[in-house]
Amino acid sequence: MYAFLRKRLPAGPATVLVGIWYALLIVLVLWSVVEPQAEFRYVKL
Amino acid sequence: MLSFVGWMVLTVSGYWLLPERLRDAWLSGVSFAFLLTHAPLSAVILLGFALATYYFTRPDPMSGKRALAICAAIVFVLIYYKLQISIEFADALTTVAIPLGLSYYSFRCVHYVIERYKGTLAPHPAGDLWSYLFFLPTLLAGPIHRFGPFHRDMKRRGWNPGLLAEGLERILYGYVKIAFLSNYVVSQGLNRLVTDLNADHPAASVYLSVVKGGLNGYLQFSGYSDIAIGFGLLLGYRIMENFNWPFLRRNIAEFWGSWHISLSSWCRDYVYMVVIALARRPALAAVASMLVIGLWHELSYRYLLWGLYNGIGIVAWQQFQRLKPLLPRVESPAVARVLHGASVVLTFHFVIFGFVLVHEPTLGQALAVYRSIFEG
Repeated sequence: MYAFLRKRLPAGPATVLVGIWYALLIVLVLWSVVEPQAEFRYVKL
Repeated sequence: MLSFVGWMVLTVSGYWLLPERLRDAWLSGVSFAFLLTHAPLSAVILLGFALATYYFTRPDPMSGKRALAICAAIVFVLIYYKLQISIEFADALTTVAIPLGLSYYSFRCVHYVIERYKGTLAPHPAGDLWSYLFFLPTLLAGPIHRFGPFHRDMKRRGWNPGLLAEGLERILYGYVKIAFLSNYVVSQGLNRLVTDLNADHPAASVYLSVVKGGLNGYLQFSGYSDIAIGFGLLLGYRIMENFNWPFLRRNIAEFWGSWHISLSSWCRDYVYMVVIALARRPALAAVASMLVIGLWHELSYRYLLWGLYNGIGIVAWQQFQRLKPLLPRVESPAVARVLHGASVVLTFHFVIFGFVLVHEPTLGQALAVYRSIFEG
């Protein structure tokens, strides 16, 4: 993701955006641990 | 999942801690142990496939009869187990499952045999072939990666923190796609909407549940592919991509070039090109490829119909390409953008309405879904 942002933005904004992006992903992962409806499970499609 | 995470940690840590000469043996050994623990029958079948593939592909050049014999044997085993499933489903006894990963590793073996027969691959030591076939990241749910790029990575690999970071990022994406986007946003959020709409707007409710099925299919499967690709990167292997924003494609041919890419490219190389070479009829080749893709998922009339539906879609698109030069050219960028958007929406609906054929247990129920949407 950082490489993707760095191609389009200067180093400063790219670093800030990638930080926000990873923070968001980590929040979602932590939230999925406590929220049973968002747990990692296989759904029969 | 947790048990698979344990296997993942064991595989990656052992792989990088061991001396380089032992790494391939470690990777194949852990994959075999994983299969033996979770699906002993599958471990035995894969071992048989690996031995037969190695033995039959050793002579150089390889004879056509040998290639045909080993491919026929592999496909026979695949069909045998898929038929068992179909029969069991028909009897409402759903306890039998296809040996874990069989659909994927059988197509990998066929790919190796055909490429050896064509001479594009040289004979390889047993260890190289076994590392390819017993590769834990792609063993369970693909992608059906190819031997050539795998072998290149095998010879080149070395500790690379960049690949490691990229791998962890892909695993994170896969997890978020499955746990948050699919299981929570789509399954729970859209489910609530479907239930709320059911009383007053039954057609909209059925339509939304069809959209939900399509989105869930994409998020789940591409999430598993992300995890497999990420796991591969942790070991220094760049596995081929399996999805490339398929729901943003403008036509059904583009869609099939970006959905389950490893399977559709396999069928392009070993079904489409073969039919083209024999019959020189692109329409027949497209339908044959789509039928193989359909029946690869399950040997049932539902998947046969689904394959036929997509095959007919591709043939219609091929015919449209021939008529296209007769249509007036679109000069305005605004009109071109609107047409692009309309094509994406049309392709998305063609695909998700096709999924109804396989998501519903019978054709009658699938037709009832279509009636509910279009007749209200």
